[in-house]
Amino acid sequence: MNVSELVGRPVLDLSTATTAGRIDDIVVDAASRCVAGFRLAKTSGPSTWLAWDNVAAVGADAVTIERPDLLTEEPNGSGRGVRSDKVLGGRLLTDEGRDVGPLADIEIDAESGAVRSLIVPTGRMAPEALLGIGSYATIVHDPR
Amino acid sequence: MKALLRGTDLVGLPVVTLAGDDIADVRDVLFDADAGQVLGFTLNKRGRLKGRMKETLDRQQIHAVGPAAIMVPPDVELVEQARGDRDGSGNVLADSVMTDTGVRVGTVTDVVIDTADGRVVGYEVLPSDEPDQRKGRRSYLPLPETGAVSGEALIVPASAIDYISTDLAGFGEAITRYRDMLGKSA
Repeated sequence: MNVSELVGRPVLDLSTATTAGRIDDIVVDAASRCVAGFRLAKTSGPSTWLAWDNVAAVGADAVTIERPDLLTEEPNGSGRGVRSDKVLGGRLLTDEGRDVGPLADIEIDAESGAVRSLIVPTGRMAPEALLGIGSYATIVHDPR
Repeated sequence: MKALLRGTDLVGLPVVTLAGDDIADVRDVLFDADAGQVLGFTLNKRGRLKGRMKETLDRQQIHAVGPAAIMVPPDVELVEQARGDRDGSGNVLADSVMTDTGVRVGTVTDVVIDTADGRVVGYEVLPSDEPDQRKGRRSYLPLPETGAVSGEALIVPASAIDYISTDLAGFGEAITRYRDMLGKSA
């Protein structure tokens, strides 16, 4: 599954069978090469952060959670939002200083949240290639 | 294949950490003309508040020099340099290039750097005597591995003339051939 497909997907609270919010952004942590969590929009309360560990399931039509109190405050340094921090469609540099971008999408494992591949103009890159996601660019190992 | 860049190509490049954050722009290249080696870079601040930074980036701190960015480790610490130190040992731009047989080749318009190790492998020169149709075109002059002597003029071996290249793309190979030739004759 690509992270871009998750944008706008409803978050369903299984205890009340109501929509707790919608996914506004997906936060990726470059160090663990995993999705850290989701930033939500249209939540009923002030908490807009859904940590990946609190997700019950990522389904084709909705992301589910067990209880509404699993939405929390976003911790500092959780990672970069693929939309708000312009990771998708943003600059992609190799550790040799070459521009190989833009980064089109990030494929993740829907079970574990682990990054499976980076989708780049020349094809796909393995998750091990990912070195960092910063304010200026996403950095990957140079494939040459 | 050698990845060659001109010194002026590096000016304005962002300095980016491997974590993906930009910390500065390259203001100028510091290099040691006698050793034929890039020493580092002076820096400008990024963004709207552009201006010279007191800190410089030392060659040892650089992870890689690429065509799109200068890459540095995520934990890089820029060190403030005392004023006298940071101008390197000289600016060769606009210096004359002479062969050791006393022929003037032209004037230096840029240095050519091997990005793999930061060595200066050649000079971009504006030839002094060119037919009119080639006026203003630059040529690339290879340097021997030991570097060239620089004083009033840069002195290069006369044999380097045979390996002058008119474009940067073919220059990497010209340097290899030139240095092979020097190695064989030595």
